[in-house]
Parts: sequence; C-alpha cells; structure tokens
Amino acid sequence: MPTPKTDVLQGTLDLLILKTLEKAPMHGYGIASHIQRISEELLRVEEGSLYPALHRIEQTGWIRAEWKLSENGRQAKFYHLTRTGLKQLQAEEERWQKLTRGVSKILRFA
Amino acid sequence: MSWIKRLASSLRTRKLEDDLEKEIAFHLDMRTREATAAGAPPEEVRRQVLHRFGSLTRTKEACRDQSTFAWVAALGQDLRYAARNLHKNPGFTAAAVACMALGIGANAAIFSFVNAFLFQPLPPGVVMVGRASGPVSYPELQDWQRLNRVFDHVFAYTPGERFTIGRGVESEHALGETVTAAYFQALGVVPATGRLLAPGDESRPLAVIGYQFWRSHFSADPAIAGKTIWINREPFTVAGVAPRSFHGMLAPWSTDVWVTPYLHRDALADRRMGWLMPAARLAGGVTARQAAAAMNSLDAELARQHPDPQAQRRDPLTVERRGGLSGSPVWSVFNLMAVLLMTVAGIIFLIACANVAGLLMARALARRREILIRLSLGAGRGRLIRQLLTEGWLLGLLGAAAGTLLAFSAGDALAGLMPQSITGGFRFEHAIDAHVLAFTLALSLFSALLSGLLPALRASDQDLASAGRAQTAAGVRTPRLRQFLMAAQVAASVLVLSTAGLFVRSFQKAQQTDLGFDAAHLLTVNVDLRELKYPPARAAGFYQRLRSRIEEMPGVASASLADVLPFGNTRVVRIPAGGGVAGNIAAATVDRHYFRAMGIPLLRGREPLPGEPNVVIVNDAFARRFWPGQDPIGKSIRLESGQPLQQVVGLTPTGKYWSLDEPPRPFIYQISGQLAEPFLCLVVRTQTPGSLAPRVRQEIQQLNPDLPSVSVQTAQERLRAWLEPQRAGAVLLSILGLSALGLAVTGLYALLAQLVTQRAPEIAVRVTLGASRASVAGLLLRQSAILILVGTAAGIAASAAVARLLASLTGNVGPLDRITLIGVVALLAAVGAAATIVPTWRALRIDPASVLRTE
Repeated sequence: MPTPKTDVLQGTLDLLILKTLEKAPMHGYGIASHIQRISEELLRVEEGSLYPALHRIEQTGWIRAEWKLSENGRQAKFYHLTRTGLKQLQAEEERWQKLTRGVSKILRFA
Repeated sequence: MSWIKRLASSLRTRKLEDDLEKEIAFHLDMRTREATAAGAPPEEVRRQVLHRFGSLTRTKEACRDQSTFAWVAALGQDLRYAARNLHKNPGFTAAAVACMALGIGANAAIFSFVNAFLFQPLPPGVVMVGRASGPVSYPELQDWQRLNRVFDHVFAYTPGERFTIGRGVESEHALGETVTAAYFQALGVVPATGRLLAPGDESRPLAVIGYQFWRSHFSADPAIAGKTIWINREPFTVAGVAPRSFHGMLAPWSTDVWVTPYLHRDALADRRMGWLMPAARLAGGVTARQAAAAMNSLDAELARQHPDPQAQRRDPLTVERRGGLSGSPVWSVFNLMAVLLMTVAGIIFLIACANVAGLLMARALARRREILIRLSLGAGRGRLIRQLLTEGWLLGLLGAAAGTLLAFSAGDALAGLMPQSITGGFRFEHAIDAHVLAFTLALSLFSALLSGLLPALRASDQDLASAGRAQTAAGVRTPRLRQFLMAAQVAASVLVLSTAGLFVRSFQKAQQTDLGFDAAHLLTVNVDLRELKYPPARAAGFYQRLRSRIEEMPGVASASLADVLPFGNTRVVRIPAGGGVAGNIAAATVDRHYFRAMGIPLLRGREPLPGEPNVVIVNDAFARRFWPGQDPIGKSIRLESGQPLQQVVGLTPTGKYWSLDEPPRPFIYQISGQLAEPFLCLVVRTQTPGSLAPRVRQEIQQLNPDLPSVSVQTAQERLRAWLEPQRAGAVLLSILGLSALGLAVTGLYALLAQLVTQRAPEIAVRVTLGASRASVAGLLLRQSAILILVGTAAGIAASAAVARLLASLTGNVGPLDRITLIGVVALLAAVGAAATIVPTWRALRIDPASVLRTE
C-alpha cells in the first residue's frame, strides 16, 4: 500500500471531519470530496484513514450515523454532529487557532 | 447507559458487517461515477478507483477495530475458530490437554492443601489478639471484655485439646476446644440444631458438638440437645450442634467438641496462668492498628492494677488478621513442605507448558500455509497472534477443567498421605473452593501465555514475499527454540526426580537407622491414670500388678515399666557441676527389667539387682562426655543437686532416643522399683507383637475397667508414625517426580521425532548423494545426545544447589543420590535414542526419490 502523500496531521483529521459536518450531515465520500475541494486540492484524505476515523469518532459520541437516500437516490450512511460533537469542535478549533498562531509567530521571528 | 448499547451493538456483528460493506461500496460507486464523468475508459476506471482506495480488507479491519468492544466480538470469533480447529485435530488436542491437565492438576491438588492452611476463612472483622509470650489468663480476658472500647466481642479458645469422650472401655479421643461464651456469636455461627453458647454459660457444664462428630458418633440424633455426654470423665450437657461448614478455630483441622471454660474451673481465678488464645471482632470503623494501640494502653493500665509479683516485663499486644494456627510449630514445618511442593509442582507446570509449546510450534509449521494465506489476505499480525493465543488459552482451560477433576479425585488420596504425627489423627479439611478454582483459572491463562506466545510470534512473523517464493523451505529455519525447550525439559525433570530421590533415600536411611533397641519384637502400652487420681502408693501397686499380670501371659518373654520411651515423651535431668561436667541430660526412669524387655544390650557391667537403691545405667555417649577414656562402671554421679549420689552399674551402646536423625545423645537410665507417675509406659517383649496386642488390651481392661482407653501399639507402629512426615514427603515427591518424568519423556519423544521427520528431505538428499545410512543415523543421534547431555548437566547442577539448600533447611536430607541420577539420565538417554532412531529409520526406509518428488 502506497504511503499517503499529504498525511493530515494526527488529530487534525478529526477536526476537519467535525468542521465539515457542522453545516450539514454528509456521507464518507462527501466528506472526503468536501475537504479536497474546499482546501483547493491541498489536502487529500485517504480512505484508509477516513473510514476508521469516522468509526472511531462515532464511538466517542461526537457524531452519529443514519442511513438516508443520497443525492443520486442510493442508500448512504450519513454522519451528523451531536451536541457534544459541536462542543468538541469548538474546543478543537480554538486549540488549532492557538497552535497555528503560535507556530506562525515562531516562523516569522526565526 | 451508552456503553451497554455499544456492547450490544458489537455483538450484532452481522448487521455491522453489512453496514460497513454497504458504506464502502457506496464510496467506490461514487468514485467510479466521478472517474467515468472525467472520461476515463471503463477498465482504467476500476483500476484507478481501487488503487486510490488502497487495501479494502485493511481498511475494513481498521474500521472494525474502532469499536470499543470489538474484542468481545473478536474473542467470540476466535474461540469459535479455535474450538473448530481443536476439534479437527483430536490427536493434538488430546495430547496437549493431557499435558496441561497433569501440569495444572498437580498444582491444583497441592494448592488445595496449601489453601486450607493459608486462607483460613476467618469472618470479616475477626482478629487475633495476642502476646508473643503466649496465651492469656481467664481474669485478663474478662478484663478485656469489660473494659475495651474497640471490639464488639472478645472471645477465646484453647489451641487444640484432646478430650476423652465417654466412659471406660467405650471412651474415645476427640479434638476439642475450650471456648468462651462469645465465641460462636463473634464468628457468626448459627446452630445446625439446638443452640450454641450464650453469655452466662461459661460456668455451666455445656458442650457444642461438631457436625461430622454428631453424624459419626450420635447418628445425627435430632434430639441431641439437652442430652448428657461425658467429657474427661465429667458429665456435660449438649447445648447444640455446630453447622456443617464450621470447623472451629483450628482449621484446617476439624474440631469435634467445644466446651465451656467450666472444664478448667480450677484455673479460672488464676491471673498468672495463661491458657487461652484471645480473638475478637472489631467494632465498626475501628482498624486493627487502632485496636492494637487501645489494647496496649488498656494492658498497661491493667498491669498497674495487678502488679506482677515477679515484675516481669510484658510483651506488647498485637492485633492481627491471620489464621488461628499461625503461631504453632506445625505451621513452620508445613510452610517448608508447602514451599517445596509448590516449587516442584511449579516446575511440572513449566514442563507441561514447554510440552504444549512444542506441540503448538509443530502445528504452526503444519499450519504455515493457512497462516500465510490469512496474512496475505490482510489479517493484522496482532489479530493473528491473538487468535493463536486464544487457541492456547482454550487448551489451557480444557486442561484446567481436566486438572481440577484430577485434583478433586486425588485430594482424598493426598489427605491420606498427610502425616498422622502432624494431623494428630484428626480430620483435615481441604476442598476445591473458589480460591483453588481462581488459582487454576489463573494457571490456564498463564499457560496460554507461556506455551502460546512464542509459537504465535514465530508463526505470524513471516516474510510474505520470500515465503511465497520458497514453499519448500518451510521449517528449515533453525529450530533452536525447540532445542532449548527440550534441554530445559530434560533439566527440569532431572531436578525434580533427583530431589524426589533425595527424600526417598533419606526415608530409607531413616528406616535403617540403628535404634539401639530391638523394635521388631516389642509391644508398647501407654497407661494413663491421671483421670483416676490415684494416690502414689495405690498407683505403684497398680503398676506392679499390671506388670506381673502381663508378664505371666503366654507368649510374653518379659515386661517392664518406664516413664519415658524412645520417640515418646522426653525428660531431662540437670546434672550439677559437682564432679566436673554439668549439663542437661536426657533421662528415663525404668525398672530393672527394662533392658531385657527392650532388647538393649549391656556393653559392660550388669543389670540392676532387685531392690538395689541409687544405681543408674548410662549410654556410651554419656560415658564419653563425663569420663572420657575411663571405665564408667563404679563411678558415682549426682543427678539434681541435693539428691543422693548414684552409682553407675552398666553401660549400653548409644541408640536413638528423641528422633531418628539426632546426633549421639548422652542418656541416663535411673532405676526404680516403685514407679508411681500417673502416666507410665509398659513395654512387652514377645515374638508376636501384632497378635498379642488385643489380648494385652483385654487383660488391662479386666484389671481395671475404669481405665480410659489404653493405647496398645507395636514399637514398629510407633516408629511408623515418626517416619510419616518423611514417608509422606517421599511419596508425594515421587509421585510428582514421576509425573514430571512422564511429561518430559513424552515431550522429548514428540519434539525429537518431529525434528527428525522435518529433516526427511535433507536425509533423502544426503542418502542420494551417497551418505551411508549409518553415518546419517549417527549424525542425528549425535544431535539428540548433545541436547540431552546439555539438559542433564544443567539439571544436575541445579539439583546439587537444591540439595545443599535443603540440607541447610532440614538437616536430614543427604547429598545428591548417584543411583537416582544415573537412573534418570539413563532413562532420558534411552528415550532420546528411541525418539531419534525410530523416525530416522522410517525416513531412511523411504525411497529418497519419492521424498524429493513430494517437495
């Protein structure tokens, strides 16, 4: 199996998934394409990481899954954010902002 | 609760699988549309989509593993798979389970006894209150009961008394405890029938009967409460019967009868006489440490109120949670034995695990292809190891179940081996209880790790690419691990067997010890007049009549009276420093017939004359100590200051007096024609001690029907009781040693045979290339021989160390026994040779071409 090209930073994938689901429920394929499109192809989520991550987050209770009809009329597993998931997203976002601010300050200074 | 939901969901495996399948299928479908829309040709689309996704199986596995309770589902799956696998290989399963059953069974059996001692089920909150210097007096105990503020109940018991139950000819001995009124209540015991003791009962003649004793001696009489039984020749009223599960504070020995302190009413007022073992139930919220502090300040206060006339310092009080027997000397003997036996059983367990490990490795080779396929299909290595371990654990569980059954059926046989001199002839309670079951369960888990982990790591560690290319190279990887296992097994069985040999030899040596008297033609009788309370003159007359009545019986050569017999009671006299050497010397008072009756030869001098006063006979060790290099005959010596001088008239060889393994002990016989102690021994010399015993008993009972039951034993029986701890040790260790040998031999055979079989292709090549059959056989034999030699050498080194350790601990275990060692090594060598020759011969008989073709 080839190694992922831009392996998203550990823990960041969760943030991306939660953020993507903030707007509307979505299935796995939709999440992957959304991240890729919005990041203008800068980030690419590997299926080998995406699905285990979705299942793991589902176990923590931040997201919940439901079978619904997709846009092309097929049954798809849609994930949506729960209330604890929303809280988690806010915390994660804040943490990420702090981290990037800190890192960029150092980069600018050095 | 959400985790319950999750647990439930992980059990619904089928639905989850379907969902996962559908979810991924949807994803692939969307990708396909995307690629098709981009205008790629159909076959290229499929390739692109699958390539982009990566390994489907791996992703699915990863998703499954995310479930918190994935392991539950996985365990169920593994167990089912393992069961199927074991079922398909009945031969392998039977062999492995038999090994584990023996390994775990031996441990469970020994542990069920250790458990009986170690984990005496004192009810929660019950603590032993003790002083290092020993038991406490009744007034002291009453003060504690009245004044303490840390205990709900304070009670006491006596550490095992021998009661005479019944009267005269019908009387019997039973194990008893004298207990205070709060005893049963504090221990939370409810009666099987009648009532137990209540406050105010202590001054009344009341008894409580043990459940088993009630069944065996009173036919479980439901109306027993209120009836009268005789205890030590006094009438006691039965209050009730203890429940079946209650055995008293002397566990693992089972108490037959409990009596109130009324039995010892003469001692109740004496503050200086300690005879009670105190215990208590802690009040709510009080810890043992707090209780100890409170009791010690109470004790100091009591010491001020009742000053000790001898002004001795008092040991501090301790408050501990532990068993009722932990203070007794039996405890240390048993501890040593328990450690030794558990160690040996542990070694057997290790051998069994090594055997199963060998079997599993052999099977892993056979299953190589299966494991390869599973690995290349994307099974994770961790998952595979878990599955192989589950298989090992299932084997361990089956073995533990079989082993527990084995231990259960062996338990009573083992109890029969328990030395009578330790158990005192009283019942010993042991059982397969929750502790033993937990122990075997732990062993089964442990066995899975020990025997399964290495083979599992080995089996799953395969380079897919190289394995796929070179199927024929299967198993040619150096079987070093298995060779190590083999050598270790040989070493362990040499160790266990030579240790067993040590005990067998020391037992034989003890049996052949020169005792200094003729034990083969002797009958000994203990006569106990204590309960009759005869004045000395009457006692002396009774003994004289008894002796002459017995001596006149047909078949009796002579009879004699003595206050102390070899291997019975002991007595010392303090010889004052008047004439040179002083010291405490072992002694006995005997009548003048003693030497002829016992068959003790006189080296010099003569037997005492009738009525001759102040004469003694000494042994050789005594003469050497007091008059080295001189003739002792005619010398005088004073025994105890203030006593008249005694003249030595005879000299005997040095025999054994207190124990079989004692060093030469100086011994002095005082001669008396007027023995009147309330407890005496009668020795009877006869050609037929066994058949004479009942007639002697009859004769004594005719002489005085009021005597409590007299014990008539041949000297051989008396000695046998003495040899019993050694005999029990020797028998137990031999059984364990033979189990170890059996295990090691089968394991050795299996492993060696399998190693040779694996090399069949190599043998074929060698023969094809012109090697002679003899040289090939020699090559293989040499390899087996090296393994056995290495193992034996390690085993002998370890046993030498163990022998030294045992010799320093017990003192009566000799050095390593050459005959045992040679026997063990010869047997192992023979097995090794057979295990090599048979498969080699088979391999050599097959046409080399056909072997090479199958590759």
